[in-house]
Amino acid sequence: MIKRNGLVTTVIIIITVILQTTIFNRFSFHNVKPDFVLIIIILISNYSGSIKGQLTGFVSGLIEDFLSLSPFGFSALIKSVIGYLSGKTEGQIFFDPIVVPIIFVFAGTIIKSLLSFLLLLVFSPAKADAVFSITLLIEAGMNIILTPFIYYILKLIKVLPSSNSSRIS
Amino acid sequence: MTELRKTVTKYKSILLLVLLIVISLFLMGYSSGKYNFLPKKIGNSIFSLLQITVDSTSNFLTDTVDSVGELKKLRSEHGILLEKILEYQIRDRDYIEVKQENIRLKKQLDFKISSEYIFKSAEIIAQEPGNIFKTIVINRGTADGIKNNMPVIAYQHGYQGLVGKIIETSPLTSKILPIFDNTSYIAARLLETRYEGLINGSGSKNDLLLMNYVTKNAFESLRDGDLVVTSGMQSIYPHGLYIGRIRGIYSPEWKTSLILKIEPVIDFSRIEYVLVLTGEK
Repeated sequence: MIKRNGLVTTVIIIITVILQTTIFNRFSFHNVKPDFVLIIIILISNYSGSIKGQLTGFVSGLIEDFLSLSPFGFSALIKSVIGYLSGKTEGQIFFDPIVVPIIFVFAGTIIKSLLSFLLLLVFSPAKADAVFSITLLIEAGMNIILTPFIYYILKLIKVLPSSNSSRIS
Repeated sequence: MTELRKTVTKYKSILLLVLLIVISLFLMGYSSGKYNFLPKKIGNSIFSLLQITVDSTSNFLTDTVDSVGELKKLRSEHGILLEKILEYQIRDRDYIEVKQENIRLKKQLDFKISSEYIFKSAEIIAQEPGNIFKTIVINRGTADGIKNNMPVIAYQHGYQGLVGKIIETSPLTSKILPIFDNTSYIAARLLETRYEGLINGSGSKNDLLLMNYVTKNAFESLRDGDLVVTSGMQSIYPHGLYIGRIRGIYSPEWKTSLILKIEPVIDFSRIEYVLVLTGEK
């Protein structure tokens, strides 16, 4: 059993969002950045359940919205839904270090784009076309490459359980 | 009552999701189109402090590592630069003379002497967390006199190119809407032929800008590489700021005007510092 509370998760999320807007910008490929926050939400939610998952998603989305040009609540909604869906698999799918997290993160990236497209159609139609482009493929590719590394880092700092089979109740 | 409690407990996860979605949609609906939505402004002010801290620390560490290697290089460059200073001092004297002559000739020709701008230099400290929206965050805010809609330029390759405009401010940071964003529109003019048009971003740093509403009569006189500047028809951007160069001329039959593809003067992937035009002298 791992001791983890909302405060630790929130701190990790805040640090990740800040790093994503500053230092991690330097690691973009063709001006496309990976979504570190999305990966972390998916991995944490899968071990914490849908309630914690969606709250983690909502808080991280709000922080992103503070720093973004997007309508306030845009990322909060998307990340809440992804946290919820990922959290629903708690105790049902056991994570191996590579394959399952990659599948989850790939699916999460597609769901994020789908929700972004639907919301943008309503709130910012000029941006909707930009969602399903080569950017999505590059981002999905970067996300799945980074997932095993982030998975190991989260395990290392004991945010995720060190044993593959252990779960958080 | 107990039944209700049981139902809520049973479906608490989905109920919470619905609540969060409703809150998010409410916030989106309320803040949509408002760049200065108060809760967002407060949150932005708080988290931008962290952005400044992280950026400063990262720059300090990078500079420290780089500086060791650069010391050797600097020593050799120092000698060369001293010689160049002498050369430039001579050139400067010539320049002042030429400038004074230029002013005198302009007065004679009754030209309006172009005004000089007051500006604040700023460093780019952050960008958007995602890939859909495009903003650039700088380390100057309302405390430095930065206001919404102020034009932002940068110097690259000897040109002062247009970067965008300020759209959101906090005490210590501001957000720039870059010209390549697809919600950015700029009244533009071709420098040589003087034809006017409207430039719209394509949404990506890598893609060319689009210039619309240029009359088809201009087709023969336009050349690849022609410079495009701000026309000054909008109150936001003063006239004469370089935007880019023509890289494609299209005359579709279904359109009454030309479509020009414009390569920005500024290479946005290499930009580090910008100048915010805060007023005119």
